[in-house]
Amino acid sequence: MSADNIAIEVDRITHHYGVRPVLRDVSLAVRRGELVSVMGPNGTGKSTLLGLIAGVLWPLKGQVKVDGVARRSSADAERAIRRRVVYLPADAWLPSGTAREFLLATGRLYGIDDDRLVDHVDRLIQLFHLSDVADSTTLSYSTGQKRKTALASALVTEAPVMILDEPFGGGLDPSGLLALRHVLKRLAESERTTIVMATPVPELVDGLAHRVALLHDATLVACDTPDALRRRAGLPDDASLNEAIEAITQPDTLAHIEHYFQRPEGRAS
Amino acid sequence: MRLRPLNYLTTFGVMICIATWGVGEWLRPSTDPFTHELAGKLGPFAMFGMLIVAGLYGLLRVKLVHPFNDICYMASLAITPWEPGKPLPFGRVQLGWTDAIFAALLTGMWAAYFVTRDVHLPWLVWLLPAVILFGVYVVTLWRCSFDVIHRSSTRVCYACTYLFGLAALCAVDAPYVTVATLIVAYALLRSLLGEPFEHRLRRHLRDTTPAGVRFLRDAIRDNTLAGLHRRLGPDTQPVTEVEGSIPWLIGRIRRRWGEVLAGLLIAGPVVWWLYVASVLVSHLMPHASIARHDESEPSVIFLFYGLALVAATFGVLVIDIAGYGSPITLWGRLSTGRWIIPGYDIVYVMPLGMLLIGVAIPHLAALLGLPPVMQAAAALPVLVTWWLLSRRWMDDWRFTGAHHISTVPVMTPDKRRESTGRPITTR
Repeated sequence: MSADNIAIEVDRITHHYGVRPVLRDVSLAVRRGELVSVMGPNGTGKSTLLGLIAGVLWPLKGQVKVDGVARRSSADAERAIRRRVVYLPADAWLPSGTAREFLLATGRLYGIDDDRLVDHVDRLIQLFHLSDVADSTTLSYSTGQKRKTALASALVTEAPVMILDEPFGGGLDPSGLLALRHVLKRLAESERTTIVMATPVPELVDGLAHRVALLHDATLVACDTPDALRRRAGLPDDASLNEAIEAITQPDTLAHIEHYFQRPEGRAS
Repeated sequence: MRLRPLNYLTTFGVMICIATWGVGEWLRPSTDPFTHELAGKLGPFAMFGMLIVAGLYGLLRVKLVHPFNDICYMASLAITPWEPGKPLPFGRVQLGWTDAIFAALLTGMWAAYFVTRDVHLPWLVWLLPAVILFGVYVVTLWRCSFDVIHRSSTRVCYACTYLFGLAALCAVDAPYVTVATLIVAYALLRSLLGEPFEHRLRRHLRDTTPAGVRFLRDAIRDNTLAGLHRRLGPDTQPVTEVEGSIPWLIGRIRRRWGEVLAGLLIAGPVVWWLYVASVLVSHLMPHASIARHDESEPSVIFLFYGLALVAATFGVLVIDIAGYGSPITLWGRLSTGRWIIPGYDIVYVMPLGMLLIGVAIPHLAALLGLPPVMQAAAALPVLVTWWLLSRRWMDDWRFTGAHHISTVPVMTPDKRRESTGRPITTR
């Protein structure tokens, strides 16, 4: 992998909030225009890894580089990185104004040209079917509408690096899921936008992510294409990605299911 | 425990109230504070106490739209290219209808008090309204100052502050209120003049016809809209370091000269007001120790100064750490041997330095034989300059420090469970 082509480089990161490590010696390189999905069981550090890449968290060991520049190495470097990176947390904050005001303000924060910004906001509102509520206060929005607004706020920045924590969560309806899948795929392929996202649903990732980074027990156990993960798990090409991930990270899941349905001898069925 | 902003403001408010009550008791130990007789005697002194409390009210009003009041808003900004000093995306303090009602109602009550001074109204009748009236005054003057500063006329601001102090010094009763009212009226006028632009913005945001969209686009391009967009300025120019040790030093001093000058200019009005307060207190309350210059008792000036210093130190610390947590919990620090994290713990140096400077300089001034007012006055420019210098450092620290930006609680229940596992060695 050419160094010039690397957008994000996670170099031997170890992190812990208390005593036990949430991430241990994790390294990952993401190419420009690549869409990488971070997956793994609950509590394995997916959000922490995204937070570290986004610069929200500070690693106790190791470093994160964006476009070859280490995060927080200097104020000017960090300013430059923040202009190029947008981070959408799983529980993104929304102000009490309208969605249109929020999107315009967010775009201006990232220095988007005003003419383009107004057009882009209109197109995003249309894309996520927010036209009816775009000029109402966000306090009246449903959970899904709030999530769509938050997603639109990430897209309106036109940032070349996007860090998205569970973008498909938060009550998105089928049309929202479909729209987001297509937008992310097109951004990565046509605009060469680098996207790192965490999602717990393998079905949404299959056919979308170029590579899947698997976290388990605070370490990165695999980072490869979905097909390569299937091969690694010893499964055929038409097997689901979910089965491959479970076979690699938690092979005892199926055994646990069988165990759950085993009834003790003598109990009435 | 991290003190939340509102808790901090409440604590601070209670502290000031207790202190004001204490000062009242100290000045008048033999007087029943609830008699009507006190109303006439405490009135002028209470005006200044109220000004302090009104400042807190103003602060609260300002903070209602400030990221400091909402950790989530602050964290959301912290992960964007926004930085301290740049305009806030969701505007500034806006006057609402409640402000207008307060201002009208309380101005009437104030007028009634001064017209019927001989009647000796119960002190609560005018004390509480006066607090809120001054609060509105502080907020509007604050906003007015912003407008003036944005027009690069800082001298006008300083001149207003000094002249207002001069007016207060010359005229104790009715003229003082007249000057205050005039300034409130001016500030209100300036504030209200900006409002129609906000309404235009809101109307056109709802107008999705081609003409409406065209207007909005032109308005944004021409920067003619107030509030939401006008306050979004250009990016800060990167600072270029000068090579070589001597030129580097000169460059650093030149870069910091702005803070030093601003420190002197800001401290000037503060010292001036301190002087005005001391003269008024000695004029209106000749029994107070400041008027007697009694060496055996602490001066009223130092009581105010000490309270302000402690409050400022506490305030600076809370403002700096709010939303920027330690990268590891206290238990984690103790368990892993990371007792000091320099990249984070530097946040404690600035307030500590403030406290040390605030204590040391008056002592040095006292050794030189300066009077109490001058002792406090000597410390203020240094304190303000230190604070302004620390702002630059802290602005950098927000980009480079070893902190966690608190978008989500760092110690979620899952994380708390994880932290009870076996210790690791990552040093």
